[in-house]
Amino acid sequence: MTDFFRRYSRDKVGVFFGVLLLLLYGVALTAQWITPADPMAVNLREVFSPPSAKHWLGTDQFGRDILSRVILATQVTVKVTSAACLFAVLTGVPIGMFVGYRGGWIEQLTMRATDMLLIFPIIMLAIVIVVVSGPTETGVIVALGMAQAPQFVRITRGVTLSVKEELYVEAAIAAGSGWLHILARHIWPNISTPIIVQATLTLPVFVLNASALSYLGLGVQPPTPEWGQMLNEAKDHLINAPYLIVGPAAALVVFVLSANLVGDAVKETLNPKLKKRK
Amino acid sequence: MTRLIVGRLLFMVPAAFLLVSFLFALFHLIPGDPAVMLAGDNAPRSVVESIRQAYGFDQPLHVQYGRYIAKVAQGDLGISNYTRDPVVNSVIPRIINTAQLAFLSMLFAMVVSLLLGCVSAMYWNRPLDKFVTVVSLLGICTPVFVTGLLGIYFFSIYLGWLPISGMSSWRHFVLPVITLGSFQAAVLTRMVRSCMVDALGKDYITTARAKGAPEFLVVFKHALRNALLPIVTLFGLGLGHTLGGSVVTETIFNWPGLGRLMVNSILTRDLPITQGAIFFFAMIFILVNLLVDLVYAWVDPRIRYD
Amino acid sequence: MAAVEPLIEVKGLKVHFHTEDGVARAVDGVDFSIAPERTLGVVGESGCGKSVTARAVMGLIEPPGRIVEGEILLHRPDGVVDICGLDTRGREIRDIRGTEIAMIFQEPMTSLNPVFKIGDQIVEAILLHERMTRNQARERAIDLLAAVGIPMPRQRFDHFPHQLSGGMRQRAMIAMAMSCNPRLLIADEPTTALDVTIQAQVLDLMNALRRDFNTAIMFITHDLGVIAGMADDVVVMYLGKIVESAPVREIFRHPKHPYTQGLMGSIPSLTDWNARRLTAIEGVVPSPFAQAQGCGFAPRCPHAMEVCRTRSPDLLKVGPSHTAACFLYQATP
Repeated sequence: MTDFFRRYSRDKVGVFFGVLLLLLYGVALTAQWITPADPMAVNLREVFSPPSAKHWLGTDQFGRDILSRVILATQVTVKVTSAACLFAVLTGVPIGMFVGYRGGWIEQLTMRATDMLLIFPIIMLAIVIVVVSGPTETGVIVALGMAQAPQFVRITRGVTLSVKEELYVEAAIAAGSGWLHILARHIWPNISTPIIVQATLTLPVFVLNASALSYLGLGVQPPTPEWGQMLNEAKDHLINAPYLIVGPAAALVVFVLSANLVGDAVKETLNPKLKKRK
Repeated sequence: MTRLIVGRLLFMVPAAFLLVSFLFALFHLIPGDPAVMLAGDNAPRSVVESIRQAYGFDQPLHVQYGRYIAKVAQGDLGISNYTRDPVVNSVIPRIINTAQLAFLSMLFAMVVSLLLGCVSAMYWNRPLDKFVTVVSLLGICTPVFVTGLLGIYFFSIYLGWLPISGMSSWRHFVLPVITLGSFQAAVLTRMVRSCMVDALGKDYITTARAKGAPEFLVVFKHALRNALLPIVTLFGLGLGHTLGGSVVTETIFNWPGLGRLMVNSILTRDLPITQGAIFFFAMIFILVNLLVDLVYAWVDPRIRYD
Repeated sequence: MAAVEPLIEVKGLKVHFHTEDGVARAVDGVDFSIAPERTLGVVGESGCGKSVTARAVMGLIEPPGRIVEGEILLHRPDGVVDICGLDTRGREIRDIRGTEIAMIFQEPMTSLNPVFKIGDQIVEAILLHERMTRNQARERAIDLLAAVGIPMPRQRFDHFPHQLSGGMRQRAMIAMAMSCNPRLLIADEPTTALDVTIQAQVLDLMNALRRDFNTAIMFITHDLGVIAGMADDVVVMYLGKIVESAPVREIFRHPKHPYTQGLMGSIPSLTDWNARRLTAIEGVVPSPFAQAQGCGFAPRCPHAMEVCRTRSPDLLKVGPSHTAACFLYQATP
């Protein structure tokens, strides 16, 4: 572990954005305490005020402080995307491991179904699922998680296939271990690294899709702030209050950028062979 | 090759069947009474009951399923809750609008990404490459609705050059196509560059140089032709993602396409339209997937000539 | 023997690679020359710098490699050109490649472009340097395919590399290389990836072509048996330097440098009835990043002396046209 951090720290970009990402997560965790104003407080006397000393990013159509809402939205995003990622991993990985190990018709069937699902872009799958699961935070988590799960099934199955040919698996089978035991004790520890890397790499995708859903009105509903949703509201007031775009847009781009670069840095730290020709 | 084509085309039939079954399941998975959903929340009981009878919601599930399949096979996808028009009348014209948007955006993305990706790989690790890498990185981190909003603000409101919404003139195409296309271009540029860098590291490139070939021939003939194999697959996936992204883009620019129809129908709980839109979208994706596989098989001489 | 003007003269060549892990001195001061219409064999283990030297002669050294010192002189009727001074992507070197110097590589499967027909690849080589119509080039390519012994050349023209066997691919590569009548053919381990019987065929082909086209050959290999059958002169490389140089019979009969002796000792012999044990050279080739003081071979040399560890020996004359870099042959250090 310390070895990993030592090698990771050699990548300056990775370190910078790693720190930035940690700061963003910190903001998410402490959102309730660090907002300068109440993100939900309606103040009709201060509607549409441009950025000022009192409201760094201005106020929206209800007089709410944009900066506070952006900060709270960070928490919402982190909550939703982390839960969705966890959902995708917890559904996709066990399925992938099981069918990869078992093989046979169940693997064929599962992989065919997975391949069919993978034809559709994640956002489409998410929209369809959200029709059933409803436009709530939980609904979004389920929708995003289920939409991303096929990818995890495919990847997990892939690495499981390569690991299951290893001698220690054969030895475990010869020793009479059951499939559950083999999966948990022998296969999982050896595939956990690429799976975790993959999960890290999908984080920016989750954020983009979550905000897209909210932009469409199918995600997190007002008054709970979410960056995509705030941008949807901003659209209606582009002429008289264009500054409404700044906060949520900047937060989105910075978050996704950090997540992307950290993901790249993690991947490269764990796979030095790939460093040769980039 | 022809066996491949025929096989995949035949696959469309069971795929459509599965799709329709899935849509049926979808309809019934949504919590709530389907008759109430169709009638509207405030409809009187008598209306709800007559709808229930007319649609057969009081029948057992498998009977409903059979009737649904039969109706779809005849081209009847139901009628809209709101307009009371047949679903197919609303949905089918929109497909063309979405197709235009997606096609043009994809064209834009392909041209830009091929150019930038190849040039980037040619000047690998030099300033031009680093610049392109940074720009495309920012591009993939900026969602379509951010670019769209910024575009609208600067070009429609501030400068007044371009219209904000609708689809009536060529000017209406500019912002939506560039918005949707540039996100895809950013994604594809990185991948094209990666494929080209891989191809340029291969032995046959050294052979080409050893023959005395000039660098542009080495890159655009020897490397690109090989990189085209994975690039075509990526473009195919990109087309799928462009169609997915068109949903958001149409919403931003009030583009009268399938995506906006689908989203609106979900927001207004017009389930038949939603089903119709999902059905056609899904069929389009399957078709695109098929086309991409075919193009790939054609481009790779190892498959084509066997 | 009258002094013939050499075709290629390499003087003091140094090629270094600047990587994240350090500077690799792949070629560290190499001098040799290639006479017209003669075959020079370059022998050494993997990593000794022979391939890099070959690429330097073709002007194919790309970053992170750099020619840091030395000259590679190509003697032409109208003057001498220093290849080291040419832009690696420039017009001059591109004119030289194919027409004066051509190269074939070790892995014909990966060295031929998999998406183009082999005939078209040969035609490209021709049309890059000679003005003629496509059809004329096509006919010439078919003739070349026939000349290298590919049966049914007219049909084979339209085949892709994956439709040919390993031996035929290598023949196609040779046809491509010879298409513009180069004065020098550099062959970088051309038979290493082939079966032994095919090897023999390809080597015979190369000898025949050398006679027919009057080409000089720079033959790079780690296989001494191949050298014995192909080369007129031999140069032995170790860790980026030449350790011995002699005509082929001389070097086989009287190998002077301990490394060469070690290489000779490790060849199994079909005619040696004494069943002498094969001797392996102790140790392994050190990393090219290691900066050795003294003779690079000293750590593995059975005759290493004190001076070998501190100073690097120069190439000295040890016989007729025979030089070796070893302190064993110096009168006084």
